[in-house]
Amino acid sequence: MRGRIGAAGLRAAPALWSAVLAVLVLGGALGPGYVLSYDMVWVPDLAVRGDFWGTGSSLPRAVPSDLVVALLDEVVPGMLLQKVALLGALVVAGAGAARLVPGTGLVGPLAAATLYVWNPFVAERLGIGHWPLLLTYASLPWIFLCARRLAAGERALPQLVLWVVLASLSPVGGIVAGVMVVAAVAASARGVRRPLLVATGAVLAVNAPWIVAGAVHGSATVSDPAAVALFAAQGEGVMPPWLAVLGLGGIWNAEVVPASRTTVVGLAALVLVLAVCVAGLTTWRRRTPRAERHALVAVAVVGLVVALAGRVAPDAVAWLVGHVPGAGLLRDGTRFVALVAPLQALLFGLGAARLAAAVPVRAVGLGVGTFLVLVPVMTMPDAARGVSGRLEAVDFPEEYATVRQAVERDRQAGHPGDVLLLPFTSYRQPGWNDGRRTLDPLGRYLPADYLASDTLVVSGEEIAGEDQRAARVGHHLATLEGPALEQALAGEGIGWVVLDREAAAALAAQEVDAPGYGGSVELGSAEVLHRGTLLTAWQLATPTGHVTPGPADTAPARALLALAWGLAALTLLTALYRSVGTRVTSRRQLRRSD
Amino acid sequence: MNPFLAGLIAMIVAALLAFFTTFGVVNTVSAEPKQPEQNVMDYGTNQAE
Repeated sequence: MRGRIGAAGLRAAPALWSAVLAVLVLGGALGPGYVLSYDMVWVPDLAVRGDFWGTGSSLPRAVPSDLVVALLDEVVPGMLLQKVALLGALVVAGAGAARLVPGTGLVGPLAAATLYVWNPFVAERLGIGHWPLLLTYASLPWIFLCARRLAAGERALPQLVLWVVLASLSPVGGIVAGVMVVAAVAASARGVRRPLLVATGAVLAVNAPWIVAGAVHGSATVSDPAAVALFAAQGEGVMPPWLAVLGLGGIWNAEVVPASRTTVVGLAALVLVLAVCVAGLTTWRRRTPRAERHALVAVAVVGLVVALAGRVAPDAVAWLVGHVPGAGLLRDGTRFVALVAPLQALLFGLGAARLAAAVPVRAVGLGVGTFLVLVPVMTMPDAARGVSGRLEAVDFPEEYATVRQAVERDRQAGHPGDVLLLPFTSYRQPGWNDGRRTLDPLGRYLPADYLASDTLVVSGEEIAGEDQRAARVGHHLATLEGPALEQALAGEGIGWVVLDREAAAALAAQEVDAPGYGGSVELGSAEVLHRGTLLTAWQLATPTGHVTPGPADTAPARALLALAWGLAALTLLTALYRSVGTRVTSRRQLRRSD
Repeated sequence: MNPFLAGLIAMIVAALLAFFTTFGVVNTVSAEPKQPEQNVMDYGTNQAE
């Protein structure tokens, strides 16, 4: 009995340790409220709406994550769901990395878990709010293990599909997961044709919604090539871009880089981690089949190449992004650094275990092991407490709820249209979010489809958006006023306009309030639904003329999208059914053998 | 000495050492990196100073 408890404790230790690390990293994010940081916007109740299916005029960047959240928060409140997603991602990530380490003992798995949870990639992606990518990252070790079992002829397809589903909440996540699946299965020398076909088919089926949604947007899926240079991997402190990327960092946005990465400590940490990894190489070669080694090295090389492509060959990547539909997914290449992390964590774990075991006195070896397990934490301590306070949870102002109710009342009364968010800029620094930068949360808070600017500004340079409708509305705002503007907006399918007065005032204070942003818009003929200190909401008259259709506003496009969602849902449900069935059968067999 | 006790002491010493190292790193990097002035509408900056 004691032995069983001990074995269970050993098995649970990496997950428990990962949970401790996750709580330390997330800090204030786990308190009451919502974390709004750059692209991470969660609201109390994300309403299901047409655009979440991929039918909107903007590119389907949040397909399927927005729809998944909108459906799940019908059951679990959005506030709790966000904390489960963030905490769960880090715990699952650490536990998965620990599983990669072969052999017995705790030092190796715990060291691997620590490095996988506590590294620049996690801190920077948390800071910039790429939570679906963190779920991808968390799934990678599990995808690798399931794909290897599948390649070995085991019945692991249902579990593999479930992990791929979790990993594919964003287009880049789906691609990263797909690369891992293909490499892990294809690395085996023989008999992989069938599992490879099946696994690739499953990945495509799961990712069908965003693939089809992107395809129906046609030429609109090519992006501004200027983005490549702006989103290229950056050096961190004394480290040039390639070293920063090798250390799992290198994100384009200097605002979210932990301060420790910008000092000589970042370089010292990288040297220390790589030295421990080198120490693990011999054990890795001895204990791991060649195919597994090839697979992990291959995905790491893919990750490094894509991450550095925008820096090494900016013209070639810019051409791809500007001419090949969907290639815009490569423009923030450092997202693919996720593919480097499993190999690095595995080697770090094996290296730490080997160095600890090499000490002749066992007690001192334990001390060495403990120290090495803690190396990632002590060399980047500012990842703690919500990445140094970047992830504090806040509450939405009451005015948001007031405007939501007003728009909802209108909708129930039959008023059609989308909400236009002004000022027509993408990001805000609300005072109620302690001035932390965030994608405008208002659109997601309100119950209707919304139109927001998709133009990005990085260091004062504009990256043009892809949404033709947004471009037309920006032009209307810049050139029209009064009833003519109201009519033009209604003609674009706008039913309501909501102005963020605080953001408009901030633009005016910085003297960047161009007319095209609509920060001082006057809609005299429109009905004022709400006028408060933070927000003003208008209801526009119902358009009488022709409303310009979006790229997915055709019957064939909608039918294709329905097919894609159906295929993804069917794949998920089949995997769930088969996975539960396999577990029940295994338990029955175990009972019979007892 | 009891091997269990020796191991425990070694782990505590290592954890203390890690704690003091962390403390040293925190002191080294206590100041956040300077960022260029940003507009309220910016997504971020790729120009650390």
